[in-house]
Amino acid sequence: MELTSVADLVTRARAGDQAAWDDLVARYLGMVHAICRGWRLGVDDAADVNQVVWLRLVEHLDRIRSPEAVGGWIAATTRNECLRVVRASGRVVLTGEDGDLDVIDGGDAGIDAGLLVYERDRALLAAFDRLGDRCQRLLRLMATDPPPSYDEIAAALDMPVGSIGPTRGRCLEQLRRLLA
Amino acid sequence: MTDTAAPWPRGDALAADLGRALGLVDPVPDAWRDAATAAFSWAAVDAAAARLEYDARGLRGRRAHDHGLPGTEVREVRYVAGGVAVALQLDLGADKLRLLGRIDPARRATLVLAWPEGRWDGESDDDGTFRADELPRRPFCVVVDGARPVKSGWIVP
Repeated sequence: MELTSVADLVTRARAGDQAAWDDLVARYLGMVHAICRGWRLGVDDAADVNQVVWLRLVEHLDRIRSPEAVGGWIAATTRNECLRVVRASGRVVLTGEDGDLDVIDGGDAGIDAGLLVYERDRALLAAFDRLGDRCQRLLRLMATDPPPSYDEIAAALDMPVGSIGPTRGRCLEQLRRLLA
Repeated sequence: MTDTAAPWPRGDALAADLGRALGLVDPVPDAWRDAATAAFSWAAVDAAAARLEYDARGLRGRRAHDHGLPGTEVREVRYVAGGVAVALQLDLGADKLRLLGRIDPARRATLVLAWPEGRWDGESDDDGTFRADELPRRPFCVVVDGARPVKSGWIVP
């Protein structure tokens, strides 16, 4: 979806067009989900964050200065809501640039791989679960359909646009090493 | 794909395999789509959006006049719009909340407490106070009706 069409959806949604709103939801719901899962929120907390993000967007729709950048606003708002939940739960939030790229030994399986039929998928997801949080968040986001733009990823992860590509490359290499 | 011995691809191909596997095991719940779609109806509420002026959390039992259950959480928020202020005290249980509110300047008014799955209709008394018990502990907002209706932002208890 081109940026201009996203801006058009925002403009139409402002005018009360439910279909345009539904298209915005279709465009960005996967991204919101990926961000929430990346922060390992509980089922109820994650559902609340999803709900609040969309409710806040409704409130904010008339005040968005750059409608084409609505995805970045959604990404940043989702991240902030996730951080609010994480902090309220007393969990420590690490914000290091490189430290949380490290592999997690014996990492907590955030994914129920037991549901999978295929051994190869099971192995891939087990390796993914051993990646550091930052790698997991980035790869999960970039696996979203449709994929977010680099600007949206930058807003979601609070990282410079220029480091997204190289970091993704390092994370995929790390994933492959874990699979070897 | 059952051959676990086949070499793993690199780069984009590995990312694509990962995306497919994540999509299988961790899809977006249908309820999320329903909630996001339903949020749009909030845009139809024709009321002035109030500004959050105050938001504080604490535990009960710290004040002499506090008669709630000691150790439970209490939160106080205050919204203002134009010349109207709405002060709210939230008594937070595990999955329920009790709401005590006051409109300033004091007046009798029709109120709606709305959350995505439901609503509570009530009114304030002549002192501007109102109370709602046994509300679900879900994101909610308050709409104060009148000549110039006012709505709070979404409060996440």
